[in-house]
Amino acid sequence: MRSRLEVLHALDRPEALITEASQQLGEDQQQVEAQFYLLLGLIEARRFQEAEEKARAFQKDLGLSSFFWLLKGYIALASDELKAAEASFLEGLKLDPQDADLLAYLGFVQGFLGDLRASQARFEALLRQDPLHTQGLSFMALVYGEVCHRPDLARQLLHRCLQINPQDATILSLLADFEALPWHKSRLLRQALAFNPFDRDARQSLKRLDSAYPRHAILAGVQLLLAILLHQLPLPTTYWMPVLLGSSCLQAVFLFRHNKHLPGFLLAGLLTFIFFPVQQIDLTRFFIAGGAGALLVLPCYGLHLLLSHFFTAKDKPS
Amino acid sequence: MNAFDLIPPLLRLLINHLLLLIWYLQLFLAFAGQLDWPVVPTLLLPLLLLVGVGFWMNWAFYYPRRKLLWVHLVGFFVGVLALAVHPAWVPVALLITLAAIAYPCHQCIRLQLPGHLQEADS
Repeated sequence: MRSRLEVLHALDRPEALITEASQQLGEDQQQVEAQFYLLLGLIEARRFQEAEEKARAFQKDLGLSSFFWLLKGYIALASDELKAAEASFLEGLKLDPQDADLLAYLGFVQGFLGDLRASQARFEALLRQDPLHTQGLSFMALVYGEVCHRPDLARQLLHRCLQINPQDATILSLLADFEALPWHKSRLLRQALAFNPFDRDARQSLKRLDSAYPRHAILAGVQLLLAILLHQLPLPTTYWMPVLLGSSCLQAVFLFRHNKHLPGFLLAGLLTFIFFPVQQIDLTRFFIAGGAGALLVLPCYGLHLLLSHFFTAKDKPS
Repeated sequence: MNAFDLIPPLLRLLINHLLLLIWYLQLFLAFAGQLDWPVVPTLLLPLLLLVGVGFWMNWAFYYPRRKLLWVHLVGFFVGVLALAVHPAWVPVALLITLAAIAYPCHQCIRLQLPGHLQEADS
């Protein structure tokens, strides 16, 4: 027979859980189960200030349970007080030195506090006891990836988590953070969103990755600097100018996929600097380059149409 | 591991040790001038040694900020001392700095995965 509090917790309704637990505590102050569920409800409702006060009040009754210290440390961690969280987890480990969750959280906190030796010892103890503890593995990955700057080790740990549970959306989006290449990142974020469509962080980072404008802006900046630099060097323009012209036209072709106005501006701006050294640029030369850009943009648009005709996935017969 | 993982640590190493690198290039310029050594190979020596040893210590071990501070302090003052005695002592100062970079401090743990995970991946 499950209690009402347990059912409310399982149904993930923190507000109802808080009112029910407060009601039961009104009847009997020392009721341990209601105290635990009140803390859990406050944590789930993300009311950490209140949860901290309650935890301090309940410490007299619950202080002999290692789970209470885990909750207290978690509340401190959520309020960004790493030292207080470490103290709570250490207190809990004194009561139960084998508690896997406490070991994982302690390793995590100590790692981010810079005590890598202790952190590594905690994680090793944890994995010796429970090699399938996914949360501990992901915490270890965070410490290795963020504190020690070793994304390769973090990826190995997260791949181990995915061997245990291939459908874990949190692990997939974490793995995306530690991948180096943007297309690997977006593939993993898409997988994570397939398993959990409500992950706002993953959706936002996917949107940022998918927007091509930053990449195009960087590319245009590099071409601009290259053009200015090559004009300053004593090189014949016949060699490098066609190359730079071709590359900026190619960029315009690919920019047409996202916007139909920007390629024109891009070409007009870049051609000014490709055709003339910076010292000679004035309004007349800018208009000359703009005219050349207006001529060049037409074949670019044609090439864009051709490419989009051949490289668009045609799943459905129309 | 892929090659792209090596680029951020290399850049971080160069930025973190920029002052030390410039300082030792200057010292070795004085050394080369004093002993009439060829300049470019003499300057390559501290560059390669500092970047090589520093990269290995940054990659395979944890390299805390406090150690970075101590490495800079030791490198600077040992260099000043060597220059004050005689520029011929500059390589000794470089060796002492390399020893400070390679020194295994309390937090400088070897970054590796527990045994069973390494076997699973290789």
